[in-house]
Amino acid sequence: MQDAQKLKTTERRLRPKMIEGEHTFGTVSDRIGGITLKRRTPFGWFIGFGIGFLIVQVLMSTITYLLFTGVGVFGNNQPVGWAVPIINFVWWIGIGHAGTLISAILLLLNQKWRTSINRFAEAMTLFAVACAGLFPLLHTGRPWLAYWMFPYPSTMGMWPQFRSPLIWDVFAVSTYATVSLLFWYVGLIPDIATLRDRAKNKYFKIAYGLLSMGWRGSARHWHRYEIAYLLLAGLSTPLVLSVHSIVSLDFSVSQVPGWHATIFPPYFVAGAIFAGFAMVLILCIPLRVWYNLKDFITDAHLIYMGKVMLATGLIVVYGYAMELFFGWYSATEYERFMIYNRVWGGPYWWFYWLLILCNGVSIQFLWFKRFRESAFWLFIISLIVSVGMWLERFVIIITSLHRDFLPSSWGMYSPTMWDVSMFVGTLGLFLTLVFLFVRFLPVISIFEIRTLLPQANVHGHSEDFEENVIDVQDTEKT
Amino acid sequence: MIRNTNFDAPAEQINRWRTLALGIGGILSIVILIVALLFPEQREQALRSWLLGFIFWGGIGIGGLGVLILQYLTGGAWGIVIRRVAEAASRTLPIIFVLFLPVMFGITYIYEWTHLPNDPIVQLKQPYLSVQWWIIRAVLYFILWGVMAYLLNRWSAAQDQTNDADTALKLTNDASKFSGPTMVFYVLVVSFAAIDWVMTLDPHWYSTIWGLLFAAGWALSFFCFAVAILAALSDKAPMNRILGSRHFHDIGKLMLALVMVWAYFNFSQFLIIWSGNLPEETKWYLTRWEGTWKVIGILLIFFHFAFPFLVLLNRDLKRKAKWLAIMAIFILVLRLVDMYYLIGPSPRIGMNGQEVDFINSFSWMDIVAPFAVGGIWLWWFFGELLKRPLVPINDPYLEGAIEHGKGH
Repeated sequence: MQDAQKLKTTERRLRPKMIEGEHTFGTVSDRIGGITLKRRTPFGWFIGFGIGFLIVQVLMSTITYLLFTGVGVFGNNQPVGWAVPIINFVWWIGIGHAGTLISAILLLLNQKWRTSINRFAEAMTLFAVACAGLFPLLHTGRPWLAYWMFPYPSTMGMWPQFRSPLIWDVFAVSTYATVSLLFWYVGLIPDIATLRDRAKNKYFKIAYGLLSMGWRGSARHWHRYEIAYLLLAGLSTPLVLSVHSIVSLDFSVSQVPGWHATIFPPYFVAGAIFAGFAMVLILCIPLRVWYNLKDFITDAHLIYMGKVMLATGLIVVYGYAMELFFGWYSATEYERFMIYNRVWGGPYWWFYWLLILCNGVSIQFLWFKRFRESAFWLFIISLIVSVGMWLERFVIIITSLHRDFLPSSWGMYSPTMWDVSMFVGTLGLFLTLVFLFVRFLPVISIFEIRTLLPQANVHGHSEDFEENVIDVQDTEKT
Repeated sequence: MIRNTNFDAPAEQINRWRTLALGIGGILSIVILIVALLFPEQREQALRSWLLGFIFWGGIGIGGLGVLILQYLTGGAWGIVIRRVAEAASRTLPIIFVLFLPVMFGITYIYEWTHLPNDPIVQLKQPYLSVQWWIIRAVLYFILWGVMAYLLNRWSAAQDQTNDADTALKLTNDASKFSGPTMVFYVLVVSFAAIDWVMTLDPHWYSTIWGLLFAAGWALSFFCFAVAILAALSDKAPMNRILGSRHFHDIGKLMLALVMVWAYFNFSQFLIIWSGNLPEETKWYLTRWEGTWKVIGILLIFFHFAFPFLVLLNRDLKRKAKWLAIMAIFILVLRLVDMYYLIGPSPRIGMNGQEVDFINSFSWMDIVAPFAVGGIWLWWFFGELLKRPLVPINDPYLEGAIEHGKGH
């Protein structure tokens, strides 16, 4: 009996805490809603937003110059016809995947730790998809004719090539953007209504009032909300896999050595989630410090995200290993040359080793508790991983294309300043959108955090409730 | 409370299954052995059929080791109730090695590359495709798996013996810590074993997703097998006090996920090879795109994916042990068909490296050998299952896991 009780106690204590400090429903609303409503906009916000907004001007100038001059301003040329624009597209779209994974898959898996990070992870998804979408859109050269990509019975009698993964991309990414937006917005409605009720400023009242769509929090509203949210989660789940699988098919359905590998779909999906979690960590580590949200985004959240990053990173490294092995095992001249060229024989060999350093070596530190538990190291590793995932696409796309089959058609690639400014510009756009989001919407789901409180579980089913009780007993004993 | 309860496996029941398995497996194995030894012209077929049975049943055992590692990593109630089944499956590695011996000694009768020393592509793949390296690697795989299984099982046994809650907790934590890096090695070893044992049947062909296909496929095989075993035990003591509908629900979800993963991996492989349309890769599918092989391929799409997918979406079905078990056995049969689809059409040495149509290649031994291998494997498995209580009695999460099963 004694032992059983003791076992039970240890078990409870083992569960990491998803919410810290002494909170009631009211303090949760105050703390999170207060960021948008009560606090004066901090000076730091203006600086951050200002920097982002300035960089957006770089993007605007680039787009203007691009539209006046044509897509020739980018460095893409034979033999490297796909280059930095598609690298950036894949990089951004990959980052979005963590948001969808956190909000949809972890919801279906009943993972409570998603609750305080889902909101801004979803926002990050939307902003990342927006940045990603700019690249293919502008690279068409005439974005005002982008609707030609959709299959509709036009007077020109033209249809898209349905066998091309590029057209699947159009469907996949537009579906992804739509569903992510809906999911994010539906989740926001109850919180926007909270803000509406608490807002003092007239304009805020009107704006939140419109956005909350008449939410009154009645039982029927909640009932419909729960159904809608679960359905959207179900719809989003396949999207986590499908979008990046199709992005990987852009490359792998071709015959280019280094692109044509059957492992590409799962390997790209893992890479996307890997990069996405790195970005979530990059955003939430400063956020929880600046806005004093450590009670809601606890160390346990960071540890979990570190673990997911390690696991997905290892899948990516497995992909590298299989590429190397099969490059040799295929016994095909071109495949073997591709490996040789990629790893040590070609002019871009150091990109490969930099990539291994960033994605392969840096994550090994996450095996150790010391690094997983340190916000500082998680932040550093996340930055390194973000660079690494960009390099990965560089290695796959450019190193494979610049020396493909015929030595007579080999060539080097170098980006132009417009390639660089466009990428930097989207970083600015992302930053700007993140700052606007933090200022005007609740960064953490207020009502979902409330469900984590012991008061929300009066029947005693709550793990956190029992946990608290036992923690008290423990302290009494000692 | 929990420690005073008896959680031993129902010996009488399991012993009956055990005898039956040994009877069937023993007799049929002797039949295959006689054919292989006394009829040289049937030897290739007998060994190929044996390989089919070995990959299928060995895959369940090795998949069990993978799930054992996985559940220590993820935690969760399903992991606690499935742990002893997975442990027993992982302790079948010795018999899996014994069952592997015919494949190892019959290597020159099964693998065409052993006869192609002058083939330029096989030459380029030296030393990977050489008999001695192939055997050395196989032994290495078994050693690595063996170490993983031995340590996890030893800690789990020590946990059963201990009276101290802190020690029990420490053992679970140790196993979890060990499982992280071990998972990496496990997936790598499975990948290369799958390449060695199945992919090299077609010595020219390659596909980078192959390892993942087997890592996921063997895990699916094990989950299906475990559901069948748990359902059979669920109305007898002690499991009737432990298993709840929510446990089956959870494992059913994992089955559904893996059925989808199987389809996802296979479709990725097919689509990429079809689109690339390179002769060295399409050859593998072209063989399987003819005659009855094509029918089997299409059958797999419908019955290894579409049908189980639709059925397993149903919440109520997943919560009923018996219904889920029927579905699990159905998928297991299709797993065997899938392995047959991978192994059967590969080039034959007796036919000078030609692939043969289903009609000319299908043999009665393709049905008998899986039963022969399976009987012996199951006999060993049930023996191992009897050795320990059916749940990890001192695991600190046990009570929570039992409680979880009763929820909704």
